[in-house]
Amino acid sequence: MKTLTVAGFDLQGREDWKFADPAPLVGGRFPTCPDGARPAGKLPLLPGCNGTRRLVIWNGMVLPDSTEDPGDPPSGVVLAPLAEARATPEFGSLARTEAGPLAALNREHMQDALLIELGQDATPDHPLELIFVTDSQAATRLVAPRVLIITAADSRAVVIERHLDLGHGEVLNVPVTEIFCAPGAELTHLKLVNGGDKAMHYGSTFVRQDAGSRYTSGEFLLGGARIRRELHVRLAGAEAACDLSGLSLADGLRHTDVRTRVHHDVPGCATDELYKGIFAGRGQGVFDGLIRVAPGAQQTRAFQTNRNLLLGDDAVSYSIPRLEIYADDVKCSHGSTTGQLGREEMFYLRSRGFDAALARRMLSYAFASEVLERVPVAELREELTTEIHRILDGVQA
Amino acid sequence: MLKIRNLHAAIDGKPILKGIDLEIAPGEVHAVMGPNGSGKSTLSQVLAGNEDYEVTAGTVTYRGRNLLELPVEERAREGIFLAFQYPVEIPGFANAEFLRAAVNAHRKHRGEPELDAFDFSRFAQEKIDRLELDPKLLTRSLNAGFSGGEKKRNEVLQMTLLEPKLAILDETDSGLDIDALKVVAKGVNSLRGPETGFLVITHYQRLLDHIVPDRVHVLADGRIVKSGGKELALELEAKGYGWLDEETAAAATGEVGA
Repeated sequence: MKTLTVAGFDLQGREDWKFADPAPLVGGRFPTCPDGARPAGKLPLLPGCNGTRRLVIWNGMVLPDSTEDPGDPPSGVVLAPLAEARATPEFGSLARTEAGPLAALNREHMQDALLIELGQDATPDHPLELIFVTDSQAATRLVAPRVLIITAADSRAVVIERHLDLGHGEVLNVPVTEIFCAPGAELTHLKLVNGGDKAMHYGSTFVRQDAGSRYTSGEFLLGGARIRRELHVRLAGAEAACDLSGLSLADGLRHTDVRTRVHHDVPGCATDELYKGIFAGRGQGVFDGLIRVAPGAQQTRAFQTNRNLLLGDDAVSYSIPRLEIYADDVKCSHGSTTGQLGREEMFYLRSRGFDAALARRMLSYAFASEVLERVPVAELREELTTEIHRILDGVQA
Repeated sequence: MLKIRNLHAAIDGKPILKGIDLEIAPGEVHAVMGPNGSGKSTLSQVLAGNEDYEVTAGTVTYRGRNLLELPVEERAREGIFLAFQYPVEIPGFANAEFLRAAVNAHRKHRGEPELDAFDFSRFAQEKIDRLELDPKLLTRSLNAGFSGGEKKRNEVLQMTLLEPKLAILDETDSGLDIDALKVVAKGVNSLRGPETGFLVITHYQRLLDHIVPDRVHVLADGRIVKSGGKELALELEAKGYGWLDEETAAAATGEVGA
């Protein structure tokens, strides 16, 4: 019998892996990328926003002095390497081995880690940008970087994570980010996964929020053969709030898989989730969201929305929105829709001279734009807009 | 410019148009009036090319070409504009971007260079000023959350930007207050000229006070049962459509006898 064991977890029959594709994770098919797989010579030009403090994580290793002008980190921000990350009590306390196969896999293979510490009241002017790059040395290898973000009270920052693949080979990325939001802290965490046609990304983010903190996540899954993103958020202090949103785009034979797990442990917290997916060709998408409201977590406000657009008859979307509520004084809702482009909308645009392909692209983009509007960094929003138009332009209905 | 001969059309197998004959010469304004369900909107949708309707018989010639062979977007680029009775709302599609893409699709078709955002904005502003529209119309999403009047104003703005050769207005006046009605009339009258034809579908005579038609047609049960000058609209306003029943019956009988 075929075994589906990943880092000690048997995925056979596991409900949270039902529509997933665990194949790349199984049987140690991909050995860890060796430590020495550094870039040869000068770094190529990498995408990034203007003015951001950038760090490059190359084949899973944090490159020292990896920006053209490293400068000092913004005031109130400490960037520290693996040894210091390991020394913190927070390290690995959310992404425990028991947390699931992705956390366990990252622990098992972790090559390097980056610690980002925000001091009390720190509010850097510009986002911090982490650029995860794999090149051809990582082909048929596994990379397992770790990021730990610890915020002090009332700090406020934007962290952008970009995942790109310059090697265009089969690479398996299993990154983990752990985030601690202190009381009153506000962290905006934006992620762009735009790997090559054979790249596989099985990543997870773990967040713990203290009282009055706000965590905003925006994840854009635009490129790669297989993408699974897990987001685990624990609202552990009163009046904490999280805004989670994402856009998945899969055509050809690509597969995207988004899992959110939000735990309301205490009263007065809020969750707002908006996830959208556009699937074309034989592309497939999964959204599986669970908001769990613990007994006693009264005055919880939790909303979860998943909307999917199918371009073409062979595209598939699985949507599993869920609320588990064990408190009685809460406002919660969830909803899910999956559909094709409207005939009336198509006719309206064509009656204005749009050819069918342009009408499809503009309507698809309009569908996605609600998620883009939530991206608070204008430059990144514009870049994503251009990239999404570029991808949609090449999509065959 | 438009010749409709014995046009029959159906939706979901149900016949709606049962033999329309209508001819519009360049520069003419034709009004089509008639009770609900008589086929007025179907006529406009069929002319614009809505593929949900099936043309079961008849011909439509537009500027010498077989209109029924042309796909929707081709008809639009060749100068046919339909102002929708119920324009669709598209949240997330900026109106300015939509209008520019529409204008550029037409310009490209004519072999003219496309307008960039800056040039388009100047071009659109001029039309907005002339129609005395709220410039905020441009910055919002296409028709999203627009009131009925705002949607109709946006249709008129599109019409003036696209400068059609044949404009079809499908009950653009219904539900409008007098100010909005004047915007519609201003839009139409600004485009009137020896080259432009109009097909104005309406329930009410009041729009025709502002857009004076050359011909008025009464549509009932999928046929034109009466045609006349602008005074016919006044007659309909005074007498209602009740008297049509006899004429409809007569027309149907006539067809059976033919």
